Amino acid sequence: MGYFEQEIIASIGAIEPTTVVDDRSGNVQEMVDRDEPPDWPGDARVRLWRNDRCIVATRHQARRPSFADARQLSELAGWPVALRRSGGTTVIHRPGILNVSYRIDVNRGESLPVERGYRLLIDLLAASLAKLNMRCDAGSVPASACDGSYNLRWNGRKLAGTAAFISHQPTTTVGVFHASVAVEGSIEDDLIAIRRFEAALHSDRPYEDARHVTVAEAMGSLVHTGIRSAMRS
Amino acid sequence: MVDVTIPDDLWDDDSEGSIAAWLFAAGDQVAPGDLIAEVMNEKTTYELLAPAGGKLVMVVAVDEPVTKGQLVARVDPAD
Repeated sequence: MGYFEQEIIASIGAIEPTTVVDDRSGNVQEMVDRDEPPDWPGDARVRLWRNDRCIVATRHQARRPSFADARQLSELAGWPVALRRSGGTTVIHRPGILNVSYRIDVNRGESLPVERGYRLLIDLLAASLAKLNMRCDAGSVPASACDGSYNLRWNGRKLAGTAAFISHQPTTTVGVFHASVAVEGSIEDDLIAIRRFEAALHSDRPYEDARHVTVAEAMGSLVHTGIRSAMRS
Repeated sequence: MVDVTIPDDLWDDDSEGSIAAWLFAAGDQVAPGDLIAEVMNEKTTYELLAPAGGKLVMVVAVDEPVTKGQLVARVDPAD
């Protein structure tokens, strides 16, 4: 685990005391499936977890006729494919990407506040990254992969995407709001894998590498800016 | 016939969603509370449960846009 990932995990744990770092082992699909409410660890409101390198598609994408071929092509390229319940399109999991899952429970029959769930997740991430002097906000990042209204952004670039699923359990309705934070690693390689998969799925869209950023890149930029400022003063 | 509609409070704004998947085939028998469809709005997936038992009749196809309150299927309780 890299330095930035350790710092983010520590920050999140300090802000949300029920946070659990879920280090249970498993294949890439088993790791994704642990977001299901019955598999959730104890009373944790936040679950932090990592996965091996894989493409994560939606169950909606999996129903396309070309999915089997797209999956096989991706696996041959070294990117196995897992499926998730939440919405959106293709994302990447791998070492260097920290998964943050935030759970909200309401009584069956009550309305679950979806926007509030996304805001709680984004606010938690923004507060943890503020401890690294990163100022983040939420919003869309056009031409980013799996864009949506609740990306975590730094300087207008996508640092983390979010998605959610709402599930009826015996006595409660559960919302699981999930973010994949790009801490370090190659965005270029990530988007090559996504483009390959989506092209085979016949659902590709134009993505721009520069619309994404990792925490490591952002911190490098902040350090560089700080050095230049110091040299001028 | 019992109507299956998108709940008025399923998501927060007035944007459209879509049926991401029907989990039964047309004409299948469903029981009250069965998970019969997944509905997607933006990047959130919701579960749609059968309000009654009977034969499922879809009104809206997968990927067709839907709004809150819209009729998407019916359940025919007749044998």
